[in-house]
Amino acid sequence: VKKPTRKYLLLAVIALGTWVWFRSGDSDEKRIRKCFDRLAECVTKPSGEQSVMMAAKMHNLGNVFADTCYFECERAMMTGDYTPEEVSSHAVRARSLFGDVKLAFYDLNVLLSGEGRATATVTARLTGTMKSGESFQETHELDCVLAKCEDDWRINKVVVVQVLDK
Amino acid sequence: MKAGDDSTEAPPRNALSRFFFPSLTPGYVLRVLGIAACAYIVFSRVLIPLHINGTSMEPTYHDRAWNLCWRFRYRSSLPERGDVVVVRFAGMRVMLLKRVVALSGETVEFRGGKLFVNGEEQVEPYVATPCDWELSPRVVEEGKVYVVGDNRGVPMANHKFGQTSVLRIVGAPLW
Repeated sequence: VKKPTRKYLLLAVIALGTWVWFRSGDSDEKRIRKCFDRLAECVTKPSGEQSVMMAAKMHNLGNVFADTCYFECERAMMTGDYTPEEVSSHAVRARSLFGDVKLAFYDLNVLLSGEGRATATVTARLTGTMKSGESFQETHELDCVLAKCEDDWRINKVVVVQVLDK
Repeated sequence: MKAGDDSTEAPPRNALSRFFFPSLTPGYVLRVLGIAACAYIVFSRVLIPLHINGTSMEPTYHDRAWNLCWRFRYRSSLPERGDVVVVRFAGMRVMLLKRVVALSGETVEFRGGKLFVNGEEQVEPYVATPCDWELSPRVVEEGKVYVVGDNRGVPMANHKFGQTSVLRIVGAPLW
């Protein structure tokens, strides 16, 4: 390999290494992103899901939320404080309506406000098939508040933003 | 190689070989990086690729079609009635494609499936399906526009429409 080419290759390797090192760190923002990833994983239901798998997911779902989580969703008439157990039982009931369902988060913007609190804005997209065979698709913007509990971030507040108001 | 000469030379490469297997020269690397940077800026800031998912804008825009969102469409002007706009949620990964039917301060209603703005029935050549929507009159708030999809053949409850802030409009489809 020629000398100038070797120099450029070395620069590329250093840049790649820096990027990998930067991405692999475990900052608060990354932990919050992981919290949303866990939430998406718990809500997602593949067709023919085993009940053992469902029970494990619902148990994990409770660990995503703080001891009391405030939900504000006028459309679903679901406004108020909920415990993780109540969230899990609502999720079990909602999931039973679907043959399969997938929750995905996009455009997660995190703002750390200090003192173990953070706000996050995200687009949540729920797609799936109802038990009746009808396909289902809902997209909402969520404003969330998260609180840090023992090195882990938990969702403390979820407000469904009304993007279109009939 | 010349007779009696100890030095060797690489055989000359033809144009096709140079095109598919270019030498990794500094100039070449810089050109590739420049093109990649330009493509990134253009397709993340100026022309956002759109993959249409859904039938809300049928027959104007079909399900699974591709388009580009022109970000500078409303840099110096506000959306007008009849414009098709791209409305964002939290970011630009998932967006809505809708048509502006009323501007701020105007009264919008649906009567027997017909759109009325300020009490006047609107001619909507882009609506191809029969519609039976009924929506009581409402005034569009300041700083907002009223957007509806072109596919009015679906029940009103299943169709996402309503007033939205002009700040959420990120551009318009390129074609």
